[in-house]
Amino acid sequence: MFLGITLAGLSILMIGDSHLASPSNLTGPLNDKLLDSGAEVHSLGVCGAHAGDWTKVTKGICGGAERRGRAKATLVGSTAATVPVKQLIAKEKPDLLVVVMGDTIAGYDKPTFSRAYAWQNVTALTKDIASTGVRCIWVGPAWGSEGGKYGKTFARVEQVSKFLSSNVAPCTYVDSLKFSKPGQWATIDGQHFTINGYKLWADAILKEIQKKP
Amino acid sequence: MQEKSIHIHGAIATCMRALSMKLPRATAATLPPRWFAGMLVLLACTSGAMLGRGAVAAEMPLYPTGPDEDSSFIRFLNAGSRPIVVTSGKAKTTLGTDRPSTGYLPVAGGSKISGQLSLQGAKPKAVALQLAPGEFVTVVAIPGVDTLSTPLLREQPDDFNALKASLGFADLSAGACRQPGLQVAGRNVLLFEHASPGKVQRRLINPVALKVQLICAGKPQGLPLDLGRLQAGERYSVIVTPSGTGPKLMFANDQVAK
Repeated sequence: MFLGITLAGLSILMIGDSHLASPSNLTGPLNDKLLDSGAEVHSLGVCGAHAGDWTKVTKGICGGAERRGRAKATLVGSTAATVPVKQLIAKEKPDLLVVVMGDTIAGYDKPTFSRAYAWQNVTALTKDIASTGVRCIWVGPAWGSEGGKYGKTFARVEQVSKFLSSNVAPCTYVDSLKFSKPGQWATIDGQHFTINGYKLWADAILKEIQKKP
Repeated sequence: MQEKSIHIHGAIATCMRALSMKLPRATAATLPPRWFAGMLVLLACTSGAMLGRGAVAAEMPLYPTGPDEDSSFIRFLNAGSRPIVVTSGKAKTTLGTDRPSTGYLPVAGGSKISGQLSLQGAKPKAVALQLAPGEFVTVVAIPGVDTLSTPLLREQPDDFNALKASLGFADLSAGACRQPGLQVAGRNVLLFEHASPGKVQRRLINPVALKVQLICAGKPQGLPLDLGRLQAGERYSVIVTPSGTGPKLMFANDQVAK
């Protein structure tokens, strides 16, 4: 019988974009659920960050948040910046790295998906992750709702998720599109969910992580 | 609990506007009493506010979700044995047998690139081109006795895959190899066939150790080329180039310059 990953006692480092940049986003419910499962959790979210931004110090464009354990998340405003992932991993030596990213490279308001840019960006990060040997899970974008200020569309997020599923190795890909139907979880702007939406997403992510070998 | 997809902020705003509106005078036959209608609106907005307090996450500032146009990539490759100096603006590099190519240099999609390739004893060759978004361009320097030709290999790949190796094949032999193909060395397994001059064919293959053999007009040409162990997620090119001893294969890793 396959039991999947046991989170108790695991140290988890999470990095990502705006979905980790506020306590009312994933930083609240996902961190809490992982903590309740017995893991130690440290998360860093920089709003608007692209995958490649985590290979070097890159200033954020719309704030960020950091949360350690059960402490409240610290909101970071204009000084928000990424920390190179190799540096983070060398310092913290996590058992598991969780990357939450995808919306920021989708180009929702552009006519075509910038595939070459996405490839260069994503592989820059995955190569740095691979060099550390850390176990890694990449959580892709969820459906959201069409329209909103980011111009998110179901067709584009599906395209981005398919691209990521083939390009985030050595990270294991978690396809968030499987967790709900298009538009099923309410958003506040088409891309960022309501608190209830983030709780649903967090619950689904936790269950998926627990299934991974 | 599952929710319909609604924009919560819009719903609350609508409620607030409704509260500030003058309600119509009721009649017994049509509208409910004014006080009743007001209670309904207040109840709706209270429910919306309660829903909002429990369900509205912090609003995120708008940020761009990607570049205006896809990136483009350019590299220079020396197909000969004598050093070639590549200059573009203030940038300058020498390509020789120990380092025959640059990595792919990322540039903004649509960029115009100009430069010069110099082979000792030959007239410098100017290069000017514009790259389409998502395009990968290789400027190949093929030295003659006292000339230098610079054919371009252009492709817009869509086969990015971190689990497989991508292998490209192109013919720049200028007719020295008829019906160029590439097969696994020592085995009757064709990887590519009938390559058109200057066009890149590409396929995904498993990341294994690979030796390849050039085929011209159905017959092996030259010695097999050992590509080493191909790595998953990496991209490679094998190019047929002319030489004093006949068409030969050149191997390049299509990596992005750091």
